[in-house]
Amino acid sequence: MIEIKNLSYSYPFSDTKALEDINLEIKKGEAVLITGPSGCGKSTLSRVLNGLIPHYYLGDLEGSVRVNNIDNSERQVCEIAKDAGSLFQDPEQQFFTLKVRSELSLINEIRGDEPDDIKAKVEAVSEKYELDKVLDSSIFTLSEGEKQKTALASLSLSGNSIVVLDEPTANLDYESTEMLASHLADLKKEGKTIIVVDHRLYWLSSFIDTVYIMENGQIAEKGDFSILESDRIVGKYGLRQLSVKKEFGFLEEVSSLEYFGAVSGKSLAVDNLNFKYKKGKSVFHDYSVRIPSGSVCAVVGKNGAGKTTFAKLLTGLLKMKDGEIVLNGKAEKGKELLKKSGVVFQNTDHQLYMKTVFEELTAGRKKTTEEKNKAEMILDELGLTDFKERHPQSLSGGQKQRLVIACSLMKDPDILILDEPTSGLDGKNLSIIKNILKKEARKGRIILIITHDYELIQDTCDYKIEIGDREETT
Amino acid sequence: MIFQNTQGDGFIHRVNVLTKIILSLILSVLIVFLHQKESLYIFFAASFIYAGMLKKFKAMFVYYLMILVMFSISLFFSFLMGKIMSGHGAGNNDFSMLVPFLRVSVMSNITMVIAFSTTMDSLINSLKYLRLPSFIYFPLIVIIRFIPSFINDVKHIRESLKVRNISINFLTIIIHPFLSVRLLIVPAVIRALRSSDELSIAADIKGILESADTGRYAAVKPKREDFVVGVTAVLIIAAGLFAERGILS
Repeated sequence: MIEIKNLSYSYPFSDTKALEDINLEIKKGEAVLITGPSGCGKSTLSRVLNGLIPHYYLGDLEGSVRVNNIDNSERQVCEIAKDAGSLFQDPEQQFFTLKVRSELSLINEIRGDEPDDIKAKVEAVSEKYELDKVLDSSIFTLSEGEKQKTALASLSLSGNSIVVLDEPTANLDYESTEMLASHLADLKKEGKTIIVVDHRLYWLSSFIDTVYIMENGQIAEKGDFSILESDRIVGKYGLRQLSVKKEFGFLEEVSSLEYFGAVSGKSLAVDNLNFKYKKGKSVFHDYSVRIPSGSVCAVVGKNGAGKTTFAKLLTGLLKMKDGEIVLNGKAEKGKELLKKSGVVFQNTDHQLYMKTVFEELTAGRKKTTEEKNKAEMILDELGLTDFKERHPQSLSGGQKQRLVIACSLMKDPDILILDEPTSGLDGKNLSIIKNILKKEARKGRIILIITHDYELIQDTCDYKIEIGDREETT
Repeated sequence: MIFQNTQGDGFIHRVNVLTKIILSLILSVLIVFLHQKESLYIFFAASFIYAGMLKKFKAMFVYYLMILVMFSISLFFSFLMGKIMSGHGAGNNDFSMLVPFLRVSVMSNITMVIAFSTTMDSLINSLKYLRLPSFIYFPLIVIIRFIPSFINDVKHIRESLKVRNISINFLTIIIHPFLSVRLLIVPAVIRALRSSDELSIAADIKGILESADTGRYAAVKPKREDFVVGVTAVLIIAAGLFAERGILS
């Protein structure tokens, strides 16, 4: 089904081989996991499988990749895509239309299916992936989890014999992750070949046959799923945990805290928050919550519940319709809130502007010795000193994530909000982020983490805020 | 519902995508051959009103602000060249300087209408129905799809700057011109380059280039809005050509 022989590849202008001497064979109906530390070549391998390398990514490619007995170099990406459907790490990259409904119908429309058939298929798949409420929404207004579900739903409609999934659960809630695992198990029963590239391992045990662990562009280990139980392997390759706590019962709900009792005055209090989008339904209705300073608080909830909206309201990026936000005993609004808070969004591309890492931290700030020393200190704390003269766009995913956190810390914020800070990070980088967050909380900041990363929550968070359904959080 | 032509329910949204495409194709050819200010002004004014019907005033404002900046830069350099190379014919800053901007603006106005009032699937099917070769329709749909992506990226960049308490306003542009340009342009260019690649890949893996389905839109009957737009367009084109010929004769 898939045969890779003596494959080596290096990206343009790079002396390092991203893939080196890869040999593997994946049989029809086999479910394969490719994992390993960040930057080990997993995503590059998936790009080779779906033909993006060499058709879109140039560079030096040696060896052969055969999908369904045809060499990828002999056919175009659109022809390979008929056999091997892909889910990209960033699902927005694979959307072509602007609405969820048309994104789901496009594949079948292109194939020339009958309108009634397409309509039935779209409705069935949207129900399965819980997309019915957002079917007529713009893809730009979806949450990251909803984007991932849309891409998965579109992929399931294409009916490929091979599916290649790159970090498919990075933004999914636990229920959706379980649903995806069961869906993939069903596809496997139907004889489909499944290739999952992922750091998160806890959801895969039920259907994975073969595990490949990559390191420095090579396949370092191969075996069945049980090889991931070995402490030696987990330690050596910095892998993530095999099981996570499914419930958050171990975390205290912040709304249950006494306002000034448990938090001794220093806290963030949200009182009677009301908010709705212009064309949407109410997201928050008379919502109140108290978050003590010096703590790490997980903001959890289903995909599309309004977690990012909540973060934007807390920092003044969105204007609430009604309600009050009290920070350390003082009611704050708009610009004042923004001054006292730091937000780290998921897409680091939008947040990095300058030529060097150091300039990135000092951009838009006074060029005083004090500011420079502060930047040096933050770089040191976040383990970025060695990269201070590097171009921010040349850093790895984990390093970029730390850099945008560093930029937020330059403001010395009372509230620091991070949106999925560990998506796409391996166990080693996850530990680094965990330690940074705990350290910053100890300095008295309020740390809010919007995340579906259960490993991050169970080891880092003190409290939780559960955001309800998109319809209305009361 | 799946095969709706539009993204909204205004007058302009009800116009069939095929009408919009035919109109843009005719105008894009016509505009290249027009030189007289009267005819170009007519087409510019008509296309401006046409785009205005979208009610996307913010997007139009940003676009025309960019055009104004580019026009000012070209005027400045033209003036500079006129000073340096006086007597060599350089430095014309009369109407001929405005011609490329008027042409680009007419094209942008009609492209904006397609981008903001049409669903991508109906656009793809319509372009195929016209039996245009793939090397024309493929870049065309990627360009049209790129517009909302780029606007979305700019929104995110502005939000990220706000979060870092960096405000770019007229004063900061005057005091720190290079820093302002860097903060605005660098992420926008990086995203624009990535977006264009990503959209090409997305279109390719979905098999948009390959599809043979062209029949669906043959069945779409023109509506009252199509006649209104069609007749108005014919009248404006006639007026524009009359202005061009009238001046020539």
